[in-house]
Amino acid sequence: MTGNPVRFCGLQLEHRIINASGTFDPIAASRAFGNDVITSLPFSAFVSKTVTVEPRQGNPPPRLWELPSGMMNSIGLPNKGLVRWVEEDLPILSRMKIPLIANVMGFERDQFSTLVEALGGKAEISALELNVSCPNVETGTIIGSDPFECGQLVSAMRLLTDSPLIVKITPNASDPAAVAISAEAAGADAISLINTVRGLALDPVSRRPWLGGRTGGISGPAIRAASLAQVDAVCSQVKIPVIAMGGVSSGKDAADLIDCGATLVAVGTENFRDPMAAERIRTELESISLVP
Amino acid sequence: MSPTSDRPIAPFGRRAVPVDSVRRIGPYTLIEITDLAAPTAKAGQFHMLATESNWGGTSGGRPFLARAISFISSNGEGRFGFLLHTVGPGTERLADVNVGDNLLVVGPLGNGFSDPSEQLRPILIGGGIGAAPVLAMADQLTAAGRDYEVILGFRDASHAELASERPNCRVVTDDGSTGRHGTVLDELQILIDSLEPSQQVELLACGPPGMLEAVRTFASAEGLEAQLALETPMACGYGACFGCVVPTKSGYVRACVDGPVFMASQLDRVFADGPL
Repeated sequence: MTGNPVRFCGLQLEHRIINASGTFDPIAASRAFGNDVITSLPFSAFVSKTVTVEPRQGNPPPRLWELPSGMMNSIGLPNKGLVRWVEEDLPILSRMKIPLIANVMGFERDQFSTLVEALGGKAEISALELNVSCPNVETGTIIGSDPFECGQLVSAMRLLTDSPLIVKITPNASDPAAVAISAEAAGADAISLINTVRGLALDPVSRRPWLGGRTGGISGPAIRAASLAQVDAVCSQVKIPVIAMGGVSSGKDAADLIDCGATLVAVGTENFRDPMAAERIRTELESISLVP
Repeated sequence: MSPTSDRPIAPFGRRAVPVDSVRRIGPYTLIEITDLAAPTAKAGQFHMLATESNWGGTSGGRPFLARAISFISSNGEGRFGFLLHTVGPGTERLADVNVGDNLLVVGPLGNGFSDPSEQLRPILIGGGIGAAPVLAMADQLTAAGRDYEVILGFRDASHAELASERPNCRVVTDDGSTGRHGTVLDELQILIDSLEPSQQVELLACGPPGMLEAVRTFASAEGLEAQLALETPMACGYGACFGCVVPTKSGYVRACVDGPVFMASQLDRVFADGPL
């Protein structure tokens, strides 16, 4: 069954496995593995790294910390900014044979508006994913942790585009399902979760925070059970499709999320360990019978 | 933006390759594999290595990520040697392999050393485990019929056993237990003083951050070309995670796809990251 195409937000996808934002860079990968990578990605749709209005250098290193069955990162959303991304990266990404989902983040409503207006109508972009794991600079609240703020943002973006809007909610909230319900009511077409779980590591020598950004985001199998619980809670409360992720490293992990109601499953950290992990996970998933 | 034309292209994906040999050299472990899928690699490139079994099965769930390791030898026909110095759970597990065990391999990755200009005499400088890509470069220069000098610095005589594997290395140790008592910089100055004044040199170095920073400072003061192979923890090795950035004059740059070899003139200083 899972080998069959799947409908998602009006798109016909070849299978259920995509990438998590920021865990695969086709342009860099083509430098390492050759230009054919662009047209032979193991995903059925590709989600870009987060694009912001202004260029960002990202957080100072160190940016990585290894954990039992996982890792923590403090990357800080480095990207070349909207203008250069559209000029330099979009033409290359448009050569992919799979739909492109652009992940965007603003630090205030106007920045989200700028990004959604600029990218929403582009033929090369099939859907937009709103990264709401950032603080609203006007209120200080993490938008995705507050149902009201998230609903307000999605309502405003809904007016600006007909492009499918996916809202990527944060696990660092007291009730992610309430945020998802609010996003759905405001017109979101899909929910994706989970983002990384906030964590801290101390330098073993200095006893100060190790990561340059002080805290980081935990990913990998270490957060799989947390992801499954949140995906289960969200899927039981919204009708729109859900993209589930969090520590997926096998077909069984993907099947667990699908059996909790997810339509698509995103592979993130496992891409780091094996650039073709998604292909293996898809093959494994196809051999597993899912709950009908 | 476009792929580097002279960069060997690695197979897309991870593959299992059996270990052919395991040998201890002083405190180091040399493991060799024959990876028939690999292209001819350039010295200074690296592979992401993990073991197929018990990766994460001991040491409290670590290691989890593969480890970025530059090869010390390569025969152009898929045979690669990797020198390991155990500094944490990843290198500990890798150094514990037996002949016949499978490694999970991605690579070769990154930019290796550039061929030194014909007008310049290459001086290769390695510190500790940083000797690995330096000795691979020595082999590459030998195969190209080039003359060069090698300076290797070690903590003590047991680490310096590695130097006895290769002829004509100038060896220094921190404790004077073998070779000259001093630093690679001391030896570099002695070497340069012994050359004809008209002889121009290029430095190619890999070693601990303090050593590389000293080489960078020296090259800058003397107006010398220098290529520095940096070591920094990596999660993926192919540009996906942005975790391995190093500060350069043009901002943070990914060591995996824009390095790990950098021109010294690209750097304001050599950044010291810790192990994973």
